[in-house]
Amino acid sequence: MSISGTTDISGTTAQPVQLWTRDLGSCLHGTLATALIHDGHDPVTVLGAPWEFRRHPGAWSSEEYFFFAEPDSLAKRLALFHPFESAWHRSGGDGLDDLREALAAGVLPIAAVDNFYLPFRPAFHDVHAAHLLVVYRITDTEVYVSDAQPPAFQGAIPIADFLASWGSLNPPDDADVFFSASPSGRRWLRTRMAGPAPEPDLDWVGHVLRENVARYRQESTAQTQTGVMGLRHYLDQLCALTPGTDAASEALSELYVISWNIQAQTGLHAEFLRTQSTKWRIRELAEAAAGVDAVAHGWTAVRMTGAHARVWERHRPDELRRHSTELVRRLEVALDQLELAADALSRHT
Amino acid sequence: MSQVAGNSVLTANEPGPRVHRLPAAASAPEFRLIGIDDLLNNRATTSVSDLDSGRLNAWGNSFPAEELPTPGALIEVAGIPFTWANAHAKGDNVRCEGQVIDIPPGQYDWIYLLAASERRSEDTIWAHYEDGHADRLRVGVSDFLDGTPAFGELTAFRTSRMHYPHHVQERLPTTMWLTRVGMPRRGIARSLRLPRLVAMHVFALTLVTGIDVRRAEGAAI
Repeated sequence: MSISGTTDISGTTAQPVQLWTRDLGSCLHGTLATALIHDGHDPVTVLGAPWEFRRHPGAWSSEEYFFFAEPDSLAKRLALFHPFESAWHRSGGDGLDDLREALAAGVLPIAAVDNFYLPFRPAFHDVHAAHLLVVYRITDTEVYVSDAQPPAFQGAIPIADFLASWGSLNPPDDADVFFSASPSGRRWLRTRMAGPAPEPDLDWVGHVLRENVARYRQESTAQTQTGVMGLRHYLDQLCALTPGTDAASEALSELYVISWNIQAQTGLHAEFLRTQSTKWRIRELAEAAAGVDAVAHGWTAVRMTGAHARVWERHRPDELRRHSTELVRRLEVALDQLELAADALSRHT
Repeated sequence: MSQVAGNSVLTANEPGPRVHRLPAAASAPEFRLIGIDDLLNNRATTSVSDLDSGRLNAWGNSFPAEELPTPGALIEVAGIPFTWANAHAKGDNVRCEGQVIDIPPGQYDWIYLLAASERRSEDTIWAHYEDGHADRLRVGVSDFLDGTPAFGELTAFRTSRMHYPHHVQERLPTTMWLTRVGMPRRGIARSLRLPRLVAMHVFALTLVTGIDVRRAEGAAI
Protein backbone atom coordinates (compact mmCIF):
# COMPACT_ATOMS: atom_id res chain seq x y z
CA MET A 1 0.00 0.00 0.00
CA SER A 2 2.98 2.30 0.27
CA ILE A 3 4.09 2.09 -3.33
CA SER A 4 3.99 5.32 -5.27
CA GLY A 5 2.24 5.06 -8.60
CA THR A 6 4.03 4.96 -11.90
CA THR A 7 2.52 5.30 -15.33
CA ASP A 8 3.23 3.12 -18.34
CA ILE A 9 2.97 4.22 -21.94
CA SER A 10 0.01 2.02 -22.83
CA GLY A 11 -2.47 4.28 -21.10
CA THR A 12 -2.70 2.48 -17.83
CA THR A 13 -1.08 3.05 -14.48
CA ALA A 14 0.65 -0.24 -13.91
CA GLN A 15 1.54 0.03 -10.24
CA PRO A 16 -0.82 0.37 -7.33
CA VAL A 17 -1.11 3.86 -5.92
CA GLN A 18 -0.85 4.85 -2.30
CA LEU A 19 -3.90 4.70 -0.08
CA TRP A 20 -4.19 7.67 2.27
CA THR A 21 -6.86 8.38 4.84
CA ARG A 22 -7.40 9.97 8.24
CA ASP A 23 -10.01 9.31 10.92
CA LEU A 24 -11.71 12.66 10.39
CA GLY A 25 -11.29 12.61 6.64
CA SER A 26 -13.57 11.73 3.77
CA CYS A 27 -13.04 10.46 0.26
CA LEU A 28 -12.31 14.06 -0.77
CA HIS A 29 -9.05 14.52 1.09
CA GLY A 30 -8.22 10.84 0.61
CA THR A 31 -8.42 10.86 -3.17
CA LEU A 32 -6.68 14.22 -3.55
CA ALA A 33 -3.93 12.96 -1.25
CA THR A 34 -3.42 9.88 -3.40
CA ALA A 35 -3.12 12.09 -6.48
CA LEU A 36 -0.65 14.37 -4.69
CA ILE A 37 1.51 11.49 -3.49
CA HIS A 38 1.49 10.08 -7.01
CA ASP A 39 3.01 13.37 -8.20
CA GLY A 40 5.57 13.51 -5.41
CA HIS A 41 3.87 15.92 -3.00
CA ASP A 42 3.20 15.56 0.72
CA PRO A 43 -0.59 15.75 1.30
CA VAL A 44 -0.27 16.96 4.89
CA THR A 45 1.78 19.94 3.75
CA VAL A 46 -0.42 20.73 0.76
CA LEU A 47 -3.89 20.01 2.17
CA GLY A 48 -3.09 20.63 5.84
CA ALA A 49 -1.76 24.16 5.53
CA PRO A 50 -5.06 26.00 4.90
CA TRP A 51 -7.70 26.27 7.59
CA GLU A 52 -10.92 28.18 7.18
CA PHE A 53 -14.67 28.27 7.52
CA ARG A 54 -16.78 29.20 4.52
CA ARG A 55 -20.45 28.57 3.79
CA HIS A 56 -22.63 29.92 1.05
CA PRO A 57 -26.29 29.43 2.03
CA GLY A 58 -28.03 27.11 -0.40
CA ALA A 59 -24.82 26.14 -2.19
CA TRP A 60 -24.32 22.53 -1.21
CA SER A 61 -24.95 19.08 -2.64
CA SER A 62 -25.55 15.76 -0.93
CA GLU A 63 -22.11 14.28 -1.52
CA GLU A 64 -19.47 13.05 0.90
CA TYR A 65 -16.95 15.09 -1.06
CA PHE A 66 -18.75 18.42 -0.94
CA PHE A 67 -16.61 21.42 -0.03
CA PHE A 68 -17.59 24.98 -0.83
CA ALA A 69 -14.80 26.16 -3.10
CA GLU A 70 -16.28 28.78 -5.40
CA PRO A 71 -14.99 30.84 -7.07
CA ASP A 72 -11.89 28.62 -6.85
CA SER A 73 -11.54 25.07 -8.04
CA LEU A 74 -11.93 22.34 -5.45
CA ALA A 75 -8.21 21.60 -5.33
CA LYS A 76 -7.25 25.26 -5.27
CA ARG A 77 -9.49 25.99 -2.28
CA LEU A 78 -8.28 22.94 -0.39
CA ALA A 79 -4.66 23.85 -1.09
CA LEU A 80 -4.65 27.62 -0.77
CA PHE A 81 -0.90 27.85 -0.33
CA HIS A 82 0.03 25.71 -3.33
CA PRO A 83 -0.65 26.00 -7.07
CA PHE A 84 -2.83 22.88 -6.94
CA GLU A 85 -5.72 22.96 -9.41
CA SER A 86 -8.58 20.74 -10.41
CA ALA A 87 -11.37 20.66 -12.95
CA TRP A 88 -14.51 18.58 -13.14
CA HIS A 89 -15.15 16.77 -16.41
CA ARG A 90 -18.27 14.98 -17.54
CA SER A 91 -17.70 12.15 -20.00
CA GLY A 92 -20.07 11.04 -22.71
CA GLY A 93 -20.68 7.46 -23.83
CA ASP A 94 -19.10 5.02 -21.44
CA GLY A 95 -16.40 7.63 -20.85
CA LEU A 96 -13.62 5.18 -20.28
CA ASP A 97 -11.56 6.56 -23.12
CA ASP A 98 -11.38 9.90 -21.30
CA LEU A 99 -10.05 8.15 -18.21
CA ARG A 100 -7.58 6.13 -20.33
CA GLU A 101 -6.37 9.35 -21.88
CA ALA A 102 -5.84 10.91 -18.47
CA LEU A 103 -3.91 7.88 -17.28
CA ALA A 104 -1.77 7.95 -20.40
CA ALA A 105 -0.93 11.56 -19.56
CA GLY A 106 0.20 10.55 -16.09
CA VAL A 107 -2.93 11.84 -14.35
CA LEU A 108 -4.86 9.80 -11.81
CA PRO A 109 -8.53 10.52 -12.53
CA ILE A 110 -10.83 10.79 -9.52
CA ALA A 111 -14.29 9.47 -10.35
CA ALA A 112 -17.62 10.39 -8.77
CA VAL A 113 -19.40 7.12 -8.00
CA ASP A 114 -22.36 5.60 -6.17
CA ASN A 115 -21.41 3.09 -3.47
CA PHE A 116 -24.49 1.01 -4.25
CA TYR A 117 -22.76 -0.55 -7.27
CA LEU A 118 -19.28 -1.06 -5.82
CA PRO A 119 -18.70 -4.68 -4.71
CA PHE A 120 -16.13 -3.71 -2.05
CA ARG A 121 -18.21 -1.04 -0.32
CA PRO A 122 -20.41 -1.92 2.69
CA ALA A 123 -23.28 -0.19 0.91
CA PHE A 124 -23.08 -2.60 -2.06
CA HIS A 125 -26.61 -3.38 -3.27
CA ASP A 126 -27.93 -1.81 -0.08
CA VAL A 127 -27.55 1.97 0.08
CA HIS A 128 -27.04 4.70 -2.51
CA ALA A 129 -24.33 7.20 -1.55
CA ALA A 130 -22.14 9.63 -3.49
CA HIS A 131 -18.44 8.90 -3.16
CA LEU A 132 -15.07 9.46 -4.85
CA LEU A 133 -12.38 6.97 -5.79
CA VAL A 134 -9.16 6.99 -7.77
CA VAL A 135 -8.85 5.10 -11.05
CA TYR A 136 -5.35 3.83 -11.70
CA ARG A 137 -5.63 1.24 -14.45
CA ILE A 138 -8.11 0.14 -17.10
CA THR A 139 -8.04 -3.08 -19.09
CA ASP A 140 -10.51 -4.47 -21.60
CA THR A 141 -12.56 -6.07 -18.85
CA GLU A 142 -11.70 -4.36 -15.59
CA VAL A 143 -11.18 -1.01 -13.96
CA TYR A 144 -8.58 -0.80 -11.19
CA VAL A 145 -9.70 1.53 -8.44
CA SER A 146 -8.24 2.79 -5.20
CA ASP A 147 -10.47 3.71 -2.25
CA ALA A 148 -8.79 4.43 1.08
CA GLN A 149 -11.99 4.91 3.08
CA PRO A 150 -12.67 1.93 5.37
CA PRO A 151 -12.75 -0.85 4.39
CA ALA A 152 -9.84 0.18 2.21
CA PHE A 153 -9.77 -1.41 -1.22
CA GLN A 154 -7.39 -1.36 -4.11
CA GLY A 155 -7.79 -3.58 -7.10
CA ALA A 156 -9.91 -4.52 -10.08
CA ILE A 157 -13.66 -4.43 -10.44
CA PRO A 158 -15.63 -5.43 -13.57
CA ILE A 159 -16.12 -2.60 -16.03
CA ALA A 160 -19.88 -3.11 -15.80
CA ASP A 161 -19.85 -2.43 -12.04
CA PHE A 162 -17.70 0.64 -12.45
CA LEU A 163 -19.90 2.05 -15.20
CA ALA A 164 -23.05 1.40 -13.19
CA SER A 165 -21.56 3.26 -10.25
CA TRP A 166 -20.03 6.05 -12.31
CA GLY A 167 -23.24 6.62 -14.25
CA SER A 168 -25.65 6.10 -11.38
CA LEU A 169 -28.56 8.44 -10.83
CA ASN A 170 -27.91 7.91 -7.11
CA PRO A 171 -31.60 8.24 -6.27
CA PRO A 172 -32.88 9.49 -2.90
CA ASP A 173 -32.37 6.77 -0.30
CA ASP A 174 -33.88 6.84 3.20
CA ALA A 175 -30.94 4.75 4.40
CA ASP A 176 -28.60 7.64 3.60
CA VAL A 177 -30.31 10.99 3.84
CA PHE A 178 -27.00 12.81 3.63
CA PHE A 179 -25.26 11.46 0.54
CA SER A 180 -27.97 10.10 -1.75
CA ALA A 181 -29.94 12.06 -4.37
CA SER A 182 -26.86 13.27 -6.23
CA PRO A 183 -26.26 11.65 -9.65
CA SER A 184 -22.73 10.50 -10.41
CA GLY A 185 -23.20 11.67 -14.01
CA ARG A 186 -19.94 10.23 -15.35
CA ARG A 187 -18.10 13.05 -13.63
CA TRP A 188 -14.42 12.93 -12.86
CA LEU A 189 -11.90 15.25 -11.38
CA ARG A 190 -8.55 16.02 -12.98
CA THR A 191 -5.93 17.52 -10.69
CA ARG A 192 -2.52 19.01 -11.34
CA MET A 193 0.13 21.02 -9.54
CA ALA A 194 0.27 24.01 -11.87
CA GLY A 195 3.59 25.40 -10.72
CA PRO A 196 6.44 24.90 -8.31
CA ALA A 197 5.49 24.18 -4.72
CA PRO A 198 6.67 26.75 -2.17
CA GLU A 199 9.65 25.91 -0.02
CA PRO A 200 8.18 24.90 3.35
CA ASP A 201 10.65 26.93 5.40
CA LEU A 202 9.96 28.87 8.58
CA ASP A 203 8.96 32.02 6.72
CA TRP A 204 6.41 30.06 4.74
CA VAL A 205 4.97 28.36 7.83
CA GLY A 206 4.68 31.74 9.55
CA HIS A 207 2.94 33.13 6.48
CA VAL A 208 0.50 30.21 6.51
CA LEU A 209 -0.39 30.74 10.16
CA ARG A 210 -0.93 34.48 9.85
CA GLU A 211 -2.98 34.14 6.66
CA ASN A 212 -5.25 31.55 8.27
CA VAL A 213 -5.77 33.64 11.39
CA ALA A 214 -6.44 36.76 9.32
CA ARG A 215 -9.00 34.92 7.21
CA TYR A 216 -10.79 33.64 10.30
CA ARG A 217 -10.86 37.11 11.83
CA GLN A 218 -11.95 39.09 8.82
CA GLU A 219 -15.53 40.22 8.55
CA SER A 220 -18.03 37.85 7.02
CA THR A 221 -19.66 38.94 3.79
CA ALA A 222 -23.38 39.08 3.19
CA GLN A 223 -23.30 36.33 0.56
CA THR A 224 -20.73 33.94 1.97
CA GLN A 225 -20.40 33.28 5.68
CA THR A 226 -16.72 33.20 6.53
CA GLY A 227 -14.44 33.15 9.54
CA VAL A 228 -15.43 33.29 13.20
CA MET A 229 -18.18 35.76 12.52
CA GLY A 230 -19.63 33.68 9.71
CA LEU A 231 -19.50 30.50 11.76
CA ARG A 232 -21.22 32.16 14.70
CA HIS A 233 -23.93 33.55 12.44
CA TYR A 234 -24.46 30.20 10.74
CA LEU A 235 -24.78 28.32 14.01
CA ASP A 236 -27.13 30.96 15.40
CA GLN A 237 -29.36 30.47 12.39
CA LEU A 238 -29.19 26.70 12.74
CA CYS A 239 -30.09 26.72 16.42
CA ALA A 240 -33.01 29.07 15.84
CA LEU A 241 -34.86 26.57 13.62
CA THR A 242 -37.87 24.76 15.04
CA PRO A 243 -36.95 21.11 15.64
CA GLY A 244 -38.79 18.57 13.53
CA THR A 245 -39.75 20.95 10.76
CA ASP A 246 -38.80 20.42 7.12
CA ALA A 247 -36.59 23.47 7.27
CA ALA A 248 -34.74 22.08 10.28
CA SER A 249 -34.32 18.68 8.61
CA GLU A 250 -32.88 20.29 5.51
CA ALA A 251 -30.55 22.42 7.60
CA LEU A 252 -29.34 19.44 9.62
CA SER A 253 -28.63 17.50 6.44
CA GLU A 254 -26.63 20.44 5.16
CA LEU A 255 -24.78 20.68 8.48
CA TYR A 256 -23.66 17.06 8.33
CA VAL A 257 -22.53 17.34 4.73
CA ILE A 258 -20.72 20.67 4.70
CA SER A 259 -19.04 20.19 8.05
CA TRP A 260 -17.50 16.82 7.20
CA ASN A 261 -14.73 18.29 5.13
CA ILE A 262 -14.49 21.42 7.26
CA GLN A 263 -13.82 19.10 10.18
CA ALA A 264 -11.45 17.01 8.05
CA GLN A 265 -9.48 20.11 7.14
CA THR A 266 -9.36 21.13 10.79
CA GLY A 267 -7.94 17.78 11.86
CA LEU A 268 -5.44 17.86 9.02
CA HIS A 269 -4.33 21.37 9.92
CA ALA A 270 -3.63 20.18 13.46
CA GLU A 271 -1.50 17.37 11.99
CA PHE A 272 0.30 19.93 9.80
CA LEU A 273 1.09 22.02 12.90
CA ARG A 274 2.35 19.00 14.84
CA THR A 275 4.57 18.01 11.93
CA GLN A 276 6.03 21.49 11.72
CA SER A 277 6.51 21.57 15.49
CA THR A 278 8.55 18.40 15.35
CA LYS A 279 10.51 19.58 12.34
CA TRP A 280 11.45 22.98 13.78
CA ARG A 281 11.28 22.09 17.48
CA ILE A 282 8.89 24.92 18.24
CA ARG A 283 6.59 23.93 21.09
CA GLU A 284 4.07 26.68 20.41
CA LEU A 285 3.18 24.91 17.17
CA ALA A 286 2.31 21.72 19.05
CA GLU A 287 0.25 23.72 21.54
CA ALA A 288 -1.59 25.40 18.68
CA ALA A 289 -2.17 21.97 17.16
CA ALA A 290 -3.91 20.87 20.36
CA GLY A 291 -6.12 23.94 20.15
CA VAL A 292 -7.00 23.24 16.51
CA ASP A 293 -7.67 19.60 17.34
CA ALA A 294 -10.06 20.76 20.06
CA VAL A 295 -11.94 22.65 17.37
CA ALA A 296 -12.09 19.50 15.26
CA HIS A 297 -13.54 17.65 18.24
CA GLY A 298 -15.97 20.49 18.80
CA TRP A 299 -17.22 19.85 15.29
CA THR A 300 -17.92 16.23 16.27
CA ALA A 301 -20.27 17.43 18.99
CA VAL A 302 -22.16 19.79 16.70
CA ARG A 303 -22.24 17.39 13.77
CA MET A 304 -23.38 14.33 15.69
CA THR A 305 -25.95 16.15 17.77
CA GLY A 306 -27.38 17.41 14.51
CA ALA A 307 -27.12 14.03 12.78
CA HIS A 308 -28.96 12.21 15.55
CA ALA A 309 -31.72 14.78 15.41
CA ARG A 310 -31.96 14.33 11.64
CA VAL A 311 -31.80 10.54 11.56
CA TRP A 312 -33.16 9.32 14.90
CA GLU A 313 -35.37 12.33 15.70
CA ARG A 314 -33.46 12.89 18.90
CA HIS A 315 -34.11 16.61 19.03
CA ARG A 316 -32.01 18.40 21.64
CA PRO A 317 -31.84 22.07 20.64
CA ASP A 318 -30.30 22.93 24.01
CA GLU A 319 -27.40 20.53 23.35
CA LEU A 320 -26.93 21.84 19.83
CA ARG A 321 -26.82 25.39 21.16
CA ARG A 322 -24.32 24.49 23.89
CA HIS A 323 -22.03 22.60 21.50
CA SER A 324 -22.22 25.45 19.00
CA THR A 325 -21.19 27.97 21.64
CA GLU A 326 -18.36 25.69 22.72
CA LEU A 327 -17.17 25.23 19.14
CA VAL A 328 -16.85 28.98 18.63
CA ARG A 329 -15.13 29.35 22.01
CA ARG A 330 -12.58 26.68 21.10
CA LEU A 331 -12.02 28.39 17.76
CA GLU A 332 -11.24 31.71 19.47
CA VAL A 333 -8.78 29.97 21.78
CA ALA A 334 -7.10 28.17 18.90
CA LEU A 335 -6.66 31.40 16.96
CA ASP A 336 -4.95 32.97 19.96
CA GLN A 337 -2.65 29.95 20.16
CA LEU A 338 -1.87 30.23 16.47
CA GLU A 339 -0.87 33.86 16.97
CA LEU A 340 1.47 32.82 19.77
CA ALA A 341 2.95 30.19 17.48
CA ALA A 342 3.39 32.69 14.66
CA ASP A 343 5.22 35.00 17.07
CA ALA A 344 7.45 32.14 18.13
CA LEU A 345 8.21 31.39 14.48
CA SER A 346 9.21 35.01 13.96
CA ARG A 347 11.71 34.74 16.79
CA HIS A 348 13.28 31.70 15.09
CA THR A 349 13.72 33.30 11.67
CA MET B 1 -8.77 -8.96 28.00
CA SER B 2 -9.10 -11.63 30.61
CA GLN B 3 -11.60 -12.66 33.22
CA VAL B 4 -10.83 -11.36 36.72
CA ALA B 5 -10.22 -14.02 39.35
CA GLY B 6 -13.05 -14.36 41.80
CA ASN B 7 -11.52 -12.33 44.59
CA SER B 8 -13.55 -9.16 44.25
CA VAL B 9 -15.76 -7.92 47.07
CA LEU B 10 -19.29 -6.81 46.34
CA THR B 11 -19.57 -3.90 48.73
CA ALA B 12 -22.84 -3.19 50.47
CA ASN B 13 -24.05 0.17 51.72
CA GLU B 14 -22.27 2.07 48.97
CA PRO B 15 -23.95 4.29 46.41
CA GLY B 16 -24.61 3.03 42.94
CA PRO B 17 -26.32 -0.09 41.81
CA ARG B 18 -23.28 -2.25 42.23
CA VAL B 19 -19.71 -1.59 43.23
CA HIS B 20 -16.90 -4.07 43.32
CA ARG B 21 -13.89 -3.23 45.44
CA LEU B 22 -10.73 -5.13 44.79
CA PRO B 23 -8.74 -5.07 48.05
CA ALA B 24 -5.04 -4.62 47.60
CA ALA B 25 -1.90 -4.23 49.62
CA ALA B 26 -0.55 -0.70 50.00
CA SER B 27 2.01 -1.57 47.40
CA ALA B 28 -0.70 -1.85 44.77
CA PRO B 29 -3.45 0.45 43.54
CA GLU B 30 -7.01 -0.14 44.64
CA PHE B 31 -9.81 -0.56 42.14
CA ARG B 32 -13.49 0.28 42.45
CA LEU B 33 -15.52 -1.27 39.66
CA ILE B 34 -18.60 0.86 39.19
CA GLY B 35 -21.75 -0.78 37.92
CA ILE B 36 -23.63 1.24 35.31
CA ASP B 37 -26.51 -1.14 34.63
CA ASP B 38 -29.17 1.33 35.68
CA LEU B 39 -27.90 3.91 33.19
CA LEU B 40 -27.82 1.78 30.04
CA ASN B 41 -29.63 3.75 27.35
CA ASN B 42 -28.19 2.77 23.99
CA ARG B 43 -27.60 -0.30 21.82
CA ALA B 44 -24.08 -0.33 20.45
CA THR B 45 -23.69 -4.11 20.22
CA THR B 46 -25.86 -6.47 18.23
CA SER B 47 -25.98 -10.09 17.20
CA VAL B 48 -26.68 -11.28 13.68
CA SER B 49 -30.33 -11.73 14.68
CA ASP B 50 -30.94 -8.08 15.59
CA LEU B 51 -28.56 -6.11 13.41
CA ASP B 52 -31.01 -3.28 12.88
CA SER B 53 -31.12 -2.52 16.61
CA GLY B 54 -27.68 -0.89 16.52
CA ARG B 55 -27.45 2.78 17.39
CA LEU B 56 -23.74 3.31 17.90
CA ASN B 57 -23.83 6.05 15.29
CA ALA B 58 -26.10 7.92 12.94
CA TRP B 59 -25.83 5.07 10.43
CA GLY B 60 -27.10 2.35 12.75
CA ASN B 61 -23.77 0.53 12.97
CA SER B 62 -22.81 -1.59 15.97
CA PHE B 63 -20.14 -3.79 17.50
CA PRO B 64 -20.50 -7.56 17.03
CA ALA B 65 -21.61 -8.77 20.47
CA GLU B 66 -19.98 -12.16 20.00
CA GLU B 67 -16.55 -10.51 19.94
CA LEU B 68 -17.08 -8.66 23.23
CA PRO B 69 -17.38 -9.88 26.84
CA THR B 70 -20.50 -11.60 28.05
CA PRO B 71 -22.96 -9.48 30.04
CA GLY B 72 -22.08 -9.15 33.70
CA ALA B 73 -18.57 -10.53 33.31
CA LEU B 74 -15.66 -9.32 35.40
CA ILE B 75 -12.89 -8.61 32.95
CA GLU B 76 -9.42 -7.12 32.90
CA VAL B 77 -7.97 -4.87 30.22
CA ALA B 78 -4.30 -3.90 30.40
CA GLY B 79 -4.27 -4.58 34.11
CA ILE B 80 -7.45 -2.66 34.86
CA PRO B 81 -10.45 -4.70 36.06
CA PHE B 82 -13.96 -3.80 34.92
CA THR B 83 -17.49 -4.99 35.35
CA TRP B 84 -19.05 -5.46 31.93
CA ALA B 85 -22.62 -4.23 31.94
CA ASN B 86 -25.63 -6.53 32.02
CA ALA B 87 -27.02 -5.66 28.62
CA HIS B 88 -30.72 -5.75 27.86
CA ALA B 89 -32.83 -5.10 24.78
CA LYS B 90 -32.80 -1.33 25.31
CA GLY B 91 -29.19 -0.86 26.23
CA ASP B 92 -25.67 -2.18 26.58
CA ASN B 93 -23.84 1.11 27.15
CA VAL B 94 -24.31 4.61 28.42
CA ARG B 95 -24.65 7.13 25.62
CA CYS B 96 -23.35 10.23 27.36
CA GLU B 97 -26.11 12.68 28.15
CA GLY B 98 -24.88 14.19 31.40
CA GLN B 99 -25.84 11.25 33.63
CA VAL B 100 -24.68 11.41 37.26
CA ILE B 101 -22.94 8.38 38.74
CA ASP B 102 -22.75 8.22 42.52
CA ILE B 103 -19.49 6.66 43.64
CA PRO B 104 -18.18 5.42 46.97
CA PRO B 105 -16.82 8.53 48.76
CA GLY B 106 -13.08 8.48 48.49
CA GLN B 107 -9.90 9.81 46.98
CA TYR B 108 -9.26 8.61 43.46
CA ASP B 109 -6.49 9.24 40.98
CA TRP B 110 -7.88 7.86 37.75
CA ILE B 111 -11.16 7.20 36.07
CA TYR B 112 -10.73 4.33 33.64
CA LEU B 113 -13.32 3.88 30.94
CA LEU B 114 -14.07 1.35 28.26
CA ALA B 115 -15.45 3.74 25.70
CA ALA B 116 -16.09 4.38 22.04
CA SER B 117 -16.93 7.42 20.01
CA GLU B 118 -18.68 8.23 16.79
CA ARG B 119 -15.72 10.10 15.33
CA ARG B 120 -13.20 11.69 17.67
CA SER B 121 -14.74 13.47 20.64
CA GLU B 122 -13.45 15.60 23.48
CA ASP B 123 -15.60 16.79 26.32
CA THR B 124 -15.88 17.11 30.11
CA ILE B 125 -16.46 14.72 32.99
CA TRP B 126 -17.36 16.64 36.12
CA ALA B 127 -16.01 15.28 39.40
CA HIS B 128 -18.02 16.43 42.41
CA TYR B 129 -16.32 16.53 45.81
CA GLU B 130 -17.58 16.45 49.35
CA ASP B 131 -16.48 20.03 50.03
CA GLY B 132 -18.52 21.40 47.14
CA HIS B 133 -15.81 21.61 44.54
CA ALA B 134 -16.63 20.43 41.04
CA ASP B 135 -13.64 19.74 38.81
CA ARG B 136 -13.80 19.85 35.06
CA LEU B 137 -11.91 16.79 33.77
CA ARG B 138 -11.07 16.54 30.08
CA VAL B 139 -11.94 13.26 28.45
CA GLY B 140 -11.09 12.29 24.89
CA VAL B 141 -12.31 9.21 23.07
CA SER B 142 -11.17 8.21 19.60
CA ASP B 143 -13.22 7.06 16.66
CA PHE B 144 -14.54 3.50 16.92
CA LEU B 145 -14.12 2.90 13.21
CA ASP B 146 -10.72 4.28 12.29
CA GLY B 147 -8.66 2.68 15.04
CA THR B 148 -6.25 5.59 15.47
CA PRO B 149 -5.70 6.44 19.18
CA ALA B 150 -5.92 10.20 18.77
CA PHE B 151 -5.81 10.76 22.54
CA GLY B 152 -3.12 8.19 23.24
CA GLU B 153 -5.52 5.56 24.46
CA LEU B 154 -4.94 1.83 24.46
CA THR B 155 -7.06 -0.52 22.42
CA ALA B 156 -9.39 -2.46 24.69
CA PHE B 157 -11.10 -4.53 22.00
CA ARG B 158 -10.54 -4.76 18.27
CA THR B 159 -13.22 -6.66 16.44
CA SER B 160 -12.76 -8.34 13.09
CA ARG B 161 -16.04 -7.12 11.60
CA MET B 162 -18.63 -4.41 11.91
CA HIS B 163 -22.39 -4.74 12.01
CA TYR B 164 -24.60 -2.78 9.64
CA PRO B 165 -28.40 -2.60 9.88
CA HIS B 166 -28.79 -5.15 7.06
CA HIS B 167 -25.58 -7.12 6.98
CA VAL B 168 -22.32 -8.06 8.66
CA GLN B 169 -19.29 -6.40 7.09
CA GLU B 170 -16.28 -8.66 7.30
CA ARG B 171 -12.74 -7.24 7.41
CA LEU B 172 -13.95 -3.90 8.73
CA PRO B 173 -12.56 -3.73 12.28
CA THR B 174 -14.01 -1.64 15.06
CA THR B 175 -12.27 -0.42 18.19
CA MET B 176 -13.31 0.07 21.78
CA TRP B 177 -10.83 2.13 23.77
CA LEU B 178 -9.29 1.97 27.21
CA THR B 179 -9.45 5.63 28.15
CA ARG B 180 -8.30 7.26 31.37
CA VAL B 181 -8.98 10.59 33.00
CA GLY B 182 -6.88 12.03 35.80
CA MET B 183 -8.39 13.28 39.08
CA PRO B 184 -5.70 15.56 40.51
CA ARG B 185 -7.66 16.98 43.45
CA ARG B 186 -6.79 15.68 46.93
CA GLY B 187 -10.36 15.47 48.13
CA ILE B 188 -13.25 13.14 48.74
CA ALA B 189 -15.11 12.56 45.48
CA ARG B 190 -18.76 11.57 45.71
CA SER B 191 -20.09 11.60 42.16
CA LEU B 192 -19.24 11.96 38.50
CA ARG B 193 -21.24 13.57 35.75
CA LEU B 194 -20.67 12.08 32.32
CA PRO B 195 -20.26 14.37 29.29
CA ARG B 196 -23.28 15.77 27.54
CA LEU B 197 -22.22 14.43 24.18
CA VAL B 198 -24.24 11.97 22.15
CA ALA B 199 -21.18 10.80 20.20
CA MET B 200 -19.54 9.32 23.29
CA HIS B 201 -20.39 5.87 24.69
CA VAL B 202 -19.26 4.32 27.98
CA PHE B 203 -19.33 0.54 28.42
CA ALA B 204 -17.59 0.17 31.79
CA LEU B 205 -16.03 2.38 34.46
CA THR B 206 -13.45 1.70 37.15
CA LEU B 207 -11.92 4.10 39.66
CA VAL B 208 -8.32 3.72 40.71
CA THR B 209 -6.60 4.97 43.84
CA GLY B 210 -2.85 5.02 43.53
CA ILE B 211 -0.23 3.79 45.96
CA ASP B 212 0.84 7.23 47.20
CA VAL B 213 -2.68 8.23 48.11
CA ARG B 214 -3.36 4.93 49.82
CA ARG B 215 -0.21 5.24 51.91
CA ALA B 216 -1.06 8.84 52.77
CA GLU B 217 -4.42 7.58 53.98
CA GLY B 218 -2.63 5.15 56.27
CA ALA B 219 -2.88 1.91 54.36
CA ALA B 220 -0.69 -0.75 55.90
CA ILE B 221 2.41 -1.62 53.96
